[in-house]
Amino acid sequence: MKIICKKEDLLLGVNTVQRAVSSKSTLPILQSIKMRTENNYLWFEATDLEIGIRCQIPVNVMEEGQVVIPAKLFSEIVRKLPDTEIKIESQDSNINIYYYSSDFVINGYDPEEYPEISDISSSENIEIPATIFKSMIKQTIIACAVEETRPVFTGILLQIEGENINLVSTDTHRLAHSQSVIPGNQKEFKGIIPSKTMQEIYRLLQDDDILYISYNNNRVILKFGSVQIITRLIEGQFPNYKQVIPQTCGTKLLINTKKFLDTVERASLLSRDNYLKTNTVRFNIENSAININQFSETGKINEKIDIDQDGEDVTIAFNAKYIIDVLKVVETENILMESSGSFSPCIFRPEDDDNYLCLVLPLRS
Amino acid sequence: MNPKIRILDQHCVNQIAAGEVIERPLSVIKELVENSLDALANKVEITVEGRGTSLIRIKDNGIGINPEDLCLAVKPHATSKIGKIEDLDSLNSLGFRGEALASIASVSKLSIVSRTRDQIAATEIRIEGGQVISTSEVGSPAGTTVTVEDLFFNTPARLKFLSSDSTEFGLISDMVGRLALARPDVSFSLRRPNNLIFNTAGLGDLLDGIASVLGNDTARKLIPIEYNEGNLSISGFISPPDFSRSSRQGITFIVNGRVIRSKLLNSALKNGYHTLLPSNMYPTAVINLSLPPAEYDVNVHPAKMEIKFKSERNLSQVLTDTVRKTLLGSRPLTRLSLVSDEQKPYPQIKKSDLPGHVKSNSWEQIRMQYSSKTNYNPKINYSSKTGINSTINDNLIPQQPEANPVIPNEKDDKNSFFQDLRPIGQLFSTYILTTDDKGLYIIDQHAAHERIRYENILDVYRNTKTASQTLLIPEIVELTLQEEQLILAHYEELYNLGFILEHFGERTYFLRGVPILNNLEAPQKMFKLFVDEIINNPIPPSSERLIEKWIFVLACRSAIKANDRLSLLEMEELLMKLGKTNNPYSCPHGRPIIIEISKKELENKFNR
Ligand SMILES: Nc1ncnc2c1ncn2[C@@H]1O[C@H](COP(=O)(O)OP(=O)(O)OP(=O)(O)O)[C@@H](O)[C@H]1O
Repeated sequence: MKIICKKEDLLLGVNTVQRAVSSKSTLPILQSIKMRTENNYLWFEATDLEIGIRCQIPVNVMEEGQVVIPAKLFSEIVRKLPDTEIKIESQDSNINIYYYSSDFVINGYDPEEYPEISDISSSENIEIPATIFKSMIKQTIIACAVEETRPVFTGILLQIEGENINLVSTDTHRLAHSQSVIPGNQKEFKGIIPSKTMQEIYRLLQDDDILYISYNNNRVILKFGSVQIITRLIEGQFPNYKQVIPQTCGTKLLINTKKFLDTVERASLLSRDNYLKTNTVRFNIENSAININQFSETGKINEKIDIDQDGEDVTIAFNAKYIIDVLKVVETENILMESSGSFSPCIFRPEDDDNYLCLVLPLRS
Repeated sequence: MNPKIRILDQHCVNQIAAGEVIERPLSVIKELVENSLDALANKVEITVEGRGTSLIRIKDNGIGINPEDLCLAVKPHATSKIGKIEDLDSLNSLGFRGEALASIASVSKLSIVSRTRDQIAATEIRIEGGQVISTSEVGSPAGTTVTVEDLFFNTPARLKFLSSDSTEFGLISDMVGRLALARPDVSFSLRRPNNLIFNTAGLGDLLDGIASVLGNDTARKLIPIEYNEGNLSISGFISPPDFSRSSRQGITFIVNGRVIRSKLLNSALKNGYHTLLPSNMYPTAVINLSLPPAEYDVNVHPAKMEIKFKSERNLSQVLTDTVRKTLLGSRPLTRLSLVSDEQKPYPQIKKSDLPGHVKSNSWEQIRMQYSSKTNYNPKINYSSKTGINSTINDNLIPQQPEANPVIPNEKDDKNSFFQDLRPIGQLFSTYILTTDDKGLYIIDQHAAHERIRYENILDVYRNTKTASQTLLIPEIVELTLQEEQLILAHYEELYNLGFILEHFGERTYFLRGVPILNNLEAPQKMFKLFVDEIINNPIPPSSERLIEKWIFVLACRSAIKANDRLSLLEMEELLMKLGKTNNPYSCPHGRPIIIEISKKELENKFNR
């Protein structure tokens, strides 16, 4: 392989695929990036066998070929390269990087040994505008489970039924549901996409991109701009989310989002740093106000926010982090909080917007 | 006049735990020695050839057997020790089944020579495979000598099942060692042809016995333990945490003079060392429990090795608490010996194996130190110590690196000790060097801070009720019958921990809430852990114990680390806080916090 390209293009390619490089694998080859030429493009590829990312940059190909190069070293070198024309040339498994009159040689791996990120041969494509999908990811990714005991909860359910698109996530302590419309779509899809993949889509998706989704039984390929992401779907049955969302609530509150967030964050400073780090926050809702009165070894806090209250008084406690998470992704000035009592799930949604809700389960003590 | 031997009636026989009495040579030794002890002997001489199948001889100076009873003694269910099953509730003897001699007689060539004090001559009875061959009068001192030859000669399957000479003999010497520890007032000797393996003085001093059986080094390090309340008393010795071993081999439990095995007591003992010892290490301990015979049942195991206590929970709690109090009161510093001292294997077969090498291990110094606390029988007069002990070979007692053993049980010892410490400086940004002008103490700063944080957090935990995070989608837990019983028995504990369980169907439960412990990644896993822990532990753990793993993590993360630079002021603060903890000597994982190098040791090292 022999190519000439610009440093900034090289950097773009490396940055795009880098997060798919396995960080913990014992297989050294999985900690590397594959580059191959095709016409006058250079393809970057990386995979940890769960997710694969590909992207292409325009280069001047002088000799076709492919190389596999240690990711960490390569990305650091590329970052430090001067802003100039770079020539990359492979000799056996050595990869020479030339700039000005200098060169850097890296020992690569045999490209034949690099796992193939196989394509999905499907002409069926679902098209989604990037802006819609990005904001849906942002609103739902907060409720994904981190621990792996039950894999279905570590992903986000993507469900497309005609013009309706839904993203749902839950770690069983809370559930986030975001929906939207893709005009004209008639295709159907249902699958659980790993949250890591969703994060990458969110990171790489540009606002003016169009996202194309195609799939077979257990894999999905997402294409946008010069990027392709191939991901495994999480196997298992996602719980029926519609069933667990309460239909009626006794108490409806309208709260200023920013004030609410600031208050909960301040209260959480106290409980987060207590010895037990339980990070709980307790709301006393009465007389059109939310009162927070908390103390710990380090201090105490008394706060009161005026709100619009419709319905009964309620005292309810939450993991403060969950409240902060949802308040941070709601962009409307006011947030609607609906409760049916101290021990029942509580619903948060943006004011006048039925497309998003986050259900948070209270604490019992 | 000795008590008459009678055959137990059928009703009584039926109620005695039946099963194999003689499994291997070790069983013969145990049964016969126990007979000698029941016969009030204060000297028991044991001789073993090979692995015990060619010859075992037990000679005692006890009360002997009436000549007219001798034939009866070897019959099944013939005993002088009980008459009816109720007698077990006030049993004072080790034997009660009348089975041992009969069982031994049926699988060996047995000879019993016995003379009571009233008799002029001894009577000998010889039996082969259960058949009486002869009885005759012979000359012999008062007491009983039982000789067992060709053990298992008529049960080849049993023979084949036995291990090598060294394994079988190892088991035997281990057992004799334990029997000797149980009765320091009896002089034991274990011999092979031509050599003495070990002997005990039999002067009633337990520490003396420990020195003989477990070695001087161990004896020097152990700390006395004592409890007396109601009808239960506990006495004996336990090792400080820095003197541990990787197996339970060094632990002996004795209930009213009977050596027993007990999972319950083992784990109660280990619990006493909780956070003082790493979980895979075990202490050395010789623990005597005395309680009324009606409080337990010996009649549960044919070899009488296990007993069932009536109030297991209470007993194990008392033992755990006593051990813990003893340990925390004893200033268990890890001593950095500048002179190497190795732990002896148990049982000990050492120099005295050599023919003609008689030694005694009584160690005057230790005894003086502890004598008031450790007399097995306070009436024993030390000045009567003669005979065997006159051949003390000083060279066998290793030179001691330190001047004194730690003197335990000073109430305010811990506080005043820490108050006197002042930091000198930091070493490698990891250890704090301190002194009280009596020694040099090296403190692991991370371990010390971890201990402080751990106790703080535990304190807060105790005073706060954990909130429970309710779950949107309950976790379905399926339990086995045994698990279900245990879960139900600990329902409240689980609830207080924050687990909300709801019965769903047959042995199926919904887990509807889990403790809110943010740093604990999977509370659901904790539930399974809890269940496992209850199942695997003879003493069910408390909720606190379960939550502990998580507290460990919190404490560890928030503690200062190695390579953190500290000012003198910070070091002083750390020492002050450490002194206030319940256990300033080891971190929550059981690793030492503080290591001592005494002035004496330094002087030795510098040859001053
Ligand atoms: N060394 C001994 N000195 C005096 N009497 C003995 C001795 N050994 C046995 N006997 C007598 O013989 C009887 C029978 O002994 P044996 O060992 O068979 O049964 P046990 O000791 O009564 O009960 P167990 O089977 O539980 O040991 C004893 O009850 C005791 O009276």
